[in-house]
Amino acid sequence: MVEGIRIGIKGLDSVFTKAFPPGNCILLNSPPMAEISIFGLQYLYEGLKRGEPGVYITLDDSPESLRLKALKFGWPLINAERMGLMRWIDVYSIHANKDVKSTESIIRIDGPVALTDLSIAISQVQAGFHKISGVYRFFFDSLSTQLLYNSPNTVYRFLQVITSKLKMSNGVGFFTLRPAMHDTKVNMTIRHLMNGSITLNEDFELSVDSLPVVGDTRFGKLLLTRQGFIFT
Amino acid sequence: MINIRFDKSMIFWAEPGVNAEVFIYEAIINELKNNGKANLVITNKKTSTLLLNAKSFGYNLSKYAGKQLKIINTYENNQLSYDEPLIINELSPLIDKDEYGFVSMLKQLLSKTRIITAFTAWPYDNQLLRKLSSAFNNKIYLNNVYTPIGVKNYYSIVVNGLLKHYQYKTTSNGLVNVNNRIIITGPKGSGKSTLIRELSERYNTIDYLSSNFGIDYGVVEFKGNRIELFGTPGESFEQLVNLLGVDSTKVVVLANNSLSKAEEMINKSLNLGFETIIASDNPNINISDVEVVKLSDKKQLLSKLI
Repeated sequence: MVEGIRIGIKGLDSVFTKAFPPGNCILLNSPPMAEISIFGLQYLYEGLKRGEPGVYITLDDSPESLRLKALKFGWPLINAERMGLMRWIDVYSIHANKDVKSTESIIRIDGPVALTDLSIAISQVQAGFHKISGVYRFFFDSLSTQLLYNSPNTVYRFLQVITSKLKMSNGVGFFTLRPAMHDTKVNMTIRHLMNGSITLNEDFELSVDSLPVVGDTRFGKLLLTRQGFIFT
Repeated sequence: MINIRFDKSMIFWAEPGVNAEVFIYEAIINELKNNGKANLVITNKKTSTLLLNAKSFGYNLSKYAGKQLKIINTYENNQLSYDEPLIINELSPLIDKDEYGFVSMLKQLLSKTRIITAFTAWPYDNQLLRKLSSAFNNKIYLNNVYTPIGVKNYYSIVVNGLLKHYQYKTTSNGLVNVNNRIIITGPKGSGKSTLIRELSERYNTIDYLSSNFGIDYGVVEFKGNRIELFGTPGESFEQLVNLLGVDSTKVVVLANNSLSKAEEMINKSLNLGFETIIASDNPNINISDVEVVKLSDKKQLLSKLI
């Protein structure tokens, strides 16, 4: 029996409880430009400190710059990468014409249209994590970029398969979406495919739309400090 | 090498997460070998990426590109020409472009030329999947099976009306079938070494890594299939599982004596995700959903191992 995970971001346990159940995909709605990647890095780093593996699937930035961003907040990821605990799936760099290749910890995908390759990469990472832990974290940033390059129906089919794989393999984490970029039908269908949804507005005010657990609070504010986010 | 003939139109029907593209590399090499030239349609990545991926699996397609291998890249150029025959690395991006008109376009194309394609079976509309499936007489299904010891890859083909499953793996030298590698285990004194000696054409005891355990090892050819038998040292098969990993295909548990111990070992094997066979002449052995084969009937036992 796999126990629930602690999100780890200070104060946020009051929203997600101290034992958030694995096998859940949460939609994280946020405005464009919000430093949502910092939230993702912090979420994964908190898991790594507890020995929980994590994968960051990035469509909007390179792993190298995200790694540097994490370091600025005091979250060194490189040791976890060497131990196979931290993996990246990079859907950004090759598409942005960077001359890069896959490494031990980074799987590079040609671009947001290569959904088959993305599903293969996710399966590879899952199989690796399965050997070292009963639970793992993921952060997928962002569905909005995927929707820019694929039709909504293509993205729904992809999500239908991927979310069920993530749930079945005890993954727990976030898919990010910038709802202002899409129409209501798209936003609602994606929300329907998830287990829960939270929304951040431009002032970093967080509200719970729905979650599979009932926490002590449903509203609050995320403050970005030099040590990352704290929730008040 | 794998046992697939690429001389007809065919579709590699893969569940999402399975790398069907490796089969396409194999098809290209086969085509180049038999016809001297091939046309590759790339739908979801840059040509350089595909050539690099192919090389990592031991398929050096770069040396043929632009010569015997003509490459049409719809991902980079958005153009599809209909030279024949066509090898398509992934069908789903083409379907996504025109979900409703795609199958009729494909059928027209199939009436003119031979097509070999990989297809990731995303949850498309059932009607579309049925039409797509019926467009190809030759379908090869690709699946991953997750077991506690790792991921096993299978391709499945209809042979004489029955779906037959073959385990395969990808290596830096291309696709290979995983041979019939059988773990033979059982309680102390159940006759593991004797059975392997009796079944094998060649027999040996391997002192694995000059260490603390010896493995009975035998090889036998049966109906054109090579079967490798590995006997566990004593009652524990952890070392063998670690040694063979997902390359072991089945476990045979000898259950003539110490039935409670044998039952424990059968459950252990099932929990590790192995296809498990009981070999026993004891009429009292009966475990639901596990096949019992007469230990004295060596031919029947061998036929269950392939």
